[in-house]
Amino acid sequence: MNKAKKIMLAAIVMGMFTVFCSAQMASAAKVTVDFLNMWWKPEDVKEIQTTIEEFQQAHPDIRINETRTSWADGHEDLLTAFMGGTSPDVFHMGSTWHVEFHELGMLEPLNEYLTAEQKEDIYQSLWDFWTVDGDVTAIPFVTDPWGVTYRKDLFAKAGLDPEKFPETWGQTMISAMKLTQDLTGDGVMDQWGVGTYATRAKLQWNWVPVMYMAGCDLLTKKDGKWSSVISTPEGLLGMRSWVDLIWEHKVMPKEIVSTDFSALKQDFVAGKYGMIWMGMFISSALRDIPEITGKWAHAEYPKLTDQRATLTSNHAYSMSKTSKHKKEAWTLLEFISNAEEATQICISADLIVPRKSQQNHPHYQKAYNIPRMASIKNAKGHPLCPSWAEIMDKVYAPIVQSAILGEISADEAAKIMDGEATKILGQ
Amino acid sequence: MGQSRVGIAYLFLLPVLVFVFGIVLFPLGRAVWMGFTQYHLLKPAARAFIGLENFRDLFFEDRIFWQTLRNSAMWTVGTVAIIIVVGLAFALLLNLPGKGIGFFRACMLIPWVLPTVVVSLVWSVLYWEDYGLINLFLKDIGFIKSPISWLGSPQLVLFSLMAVFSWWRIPFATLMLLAGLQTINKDLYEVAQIDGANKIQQFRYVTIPLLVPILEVVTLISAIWAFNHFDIVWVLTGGGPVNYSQLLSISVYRNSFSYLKMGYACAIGDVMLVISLIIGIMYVRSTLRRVIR
Repeated sequence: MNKAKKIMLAAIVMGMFTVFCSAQMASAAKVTVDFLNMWWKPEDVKEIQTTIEEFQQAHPDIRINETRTSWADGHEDLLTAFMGGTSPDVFHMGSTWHVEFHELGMLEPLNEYLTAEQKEDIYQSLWDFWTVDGDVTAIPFVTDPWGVTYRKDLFAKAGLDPEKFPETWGQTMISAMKLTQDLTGDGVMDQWGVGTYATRAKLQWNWVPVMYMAGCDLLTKKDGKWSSVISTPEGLLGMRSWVDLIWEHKVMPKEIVSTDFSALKQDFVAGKYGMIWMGMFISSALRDIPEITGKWAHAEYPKLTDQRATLTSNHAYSMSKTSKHKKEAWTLLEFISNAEEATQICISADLIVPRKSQQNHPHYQKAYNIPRMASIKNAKGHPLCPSWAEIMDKVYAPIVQSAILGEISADEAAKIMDGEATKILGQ
Repeated sequence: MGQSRVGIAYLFLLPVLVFVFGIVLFPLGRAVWMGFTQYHLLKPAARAFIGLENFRDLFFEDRIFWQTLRNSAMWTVGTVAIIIVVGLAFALLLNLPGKGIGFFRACMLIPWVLPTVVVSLVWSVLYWEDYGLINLFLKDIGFIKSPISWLGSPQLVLFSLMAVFSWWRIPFATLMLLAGLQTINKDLYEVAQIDGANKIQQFRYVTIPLLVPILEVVTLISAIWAFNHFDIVWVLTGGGPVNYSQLLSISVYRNSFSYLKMGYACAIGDVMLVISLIIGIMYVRSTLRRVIR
């Protein structure tokens, strides 16, 4: 090797060493914040990545390590990460997990971090839901209440006013009965008044709103003790109203126990159901289907009692109690959940942003969004009982399904549900 | 071999022993032990040895355990029967000489290479009530008037799921049995023919006895796979409606990850382990008997 080559080689090695050292020093100066989210639609992923890029530009000293998981795996991923001591600093959370995670000590209470603007701008009902034993467990940034989506064309064909959905439960049953028809005359119903999906995993989302409408809170806490209250007059009203849809009014098929979201949407588009009861987020799936453009609308649930009520699902962002970079994690949490960023991603995902300041945003003035916005004030989440997931899955869901299938009556179901739930609550 | 060489041999074996102990024996032993403890993730401080209490609750208090056990037994026996009978039929067909048989043998493997979640999602669409291909076909040929709720009917759900699992697992049985069929000496069939045996008698007295060792292996492996299976049932029904398709594997998952009752989930796992061991011991005994013979 001649001298020139040696000098060149030495220069290259020194150059590489300098670059390596600079990179190491630069990364050492940055704090890395792990951020786990569950956005999955390409447009939503793009939106959150844009938000992260904006954050990086505004905070060059914080590096975001973004990872994604699915809604199906999110609970197990977070649980195992926490148990293994590797929980992300900031994470996306579903509305049925926070009580359990709070009990496990996973969540950093956000009470001290919240600004007056945040407290004021987000609906109090949502703060109530995300507050467990006085600790604010997350910042809600998406909500979407459950309600009715109905076919205006089928309403018109059945002689019903397509522009005005019935106000009361009784009127709704009359409409549903008119919509339930054997169109081919073969003795088999081809069109049903009401449809929903009630698989064991999903039943809670469609059964709980009816119970809330009846005034039953399912699980209530008194003197520090939880109890199941399905056998109360309110609970029995809810159970009977639900089961009567199938067996008394005969406006809903019992096969809903195996109907999933895709099948329900397909059936609704094909005209099998005059109305479906589910989360009004279905609008994002319906808006792109040309066959039914202009033929559907949303409505709030009919009044079963004097007051309206419904269930809402929420997404929120939380911070890990074990985070080593809480200051930076909060900076990220505040950035991604601020009104502007939250509105952007909610519009992208066609969900509702729970911010009072965004009520007059042009997107939320669109016709299909008006009932969604109106429902927020009557909406609440699941009971904040630590055993909720077990009671719903092990007791309520299979027993309600049993009543749907006609194996037991609504009253028998209510009694069994309270008995079985009490056993779990007593453990 | 000198003592020092034996020591070196053990030294070389050490990494494997550590590996096997670390990822198989220790977790297994710990899981078995946890079945005898009270361990709820929400109450880690209350973790304690409780003897047979979990098993008492399981056998005498749990409203759905016996139904789940019965479902698991029906599921295992049903799927293994379908897999063996249909797998053998396909193996016999694919063992026939003919042009292009290799193509069909390759096609046969397609279900087996599909991930279970894909299989489940495809079948969930096939099982749709109003627009599922199965109901549309049955309606078109006039076999049914109104659609059948394959996954919503308490009477049908387990059988519908068995069909999916069997469809996915039949290629394995076919492949194994086909390999077995191809090892049978053709002269035996000629001898049987000379002795006047017809095709059915040849199958009964030549094919089946020579396939028994492979049938035993396929039955055992299929039974263990079926008994421990989770994915297809979880994706398609989650154990519902009510608890009509709830299997023990699903109970373990629910109790551990949904209800966070690790001790109780491990107790169900222990029951599954004992049943799997019984199946395994039966297989080993029958193999040993044959070897001795």
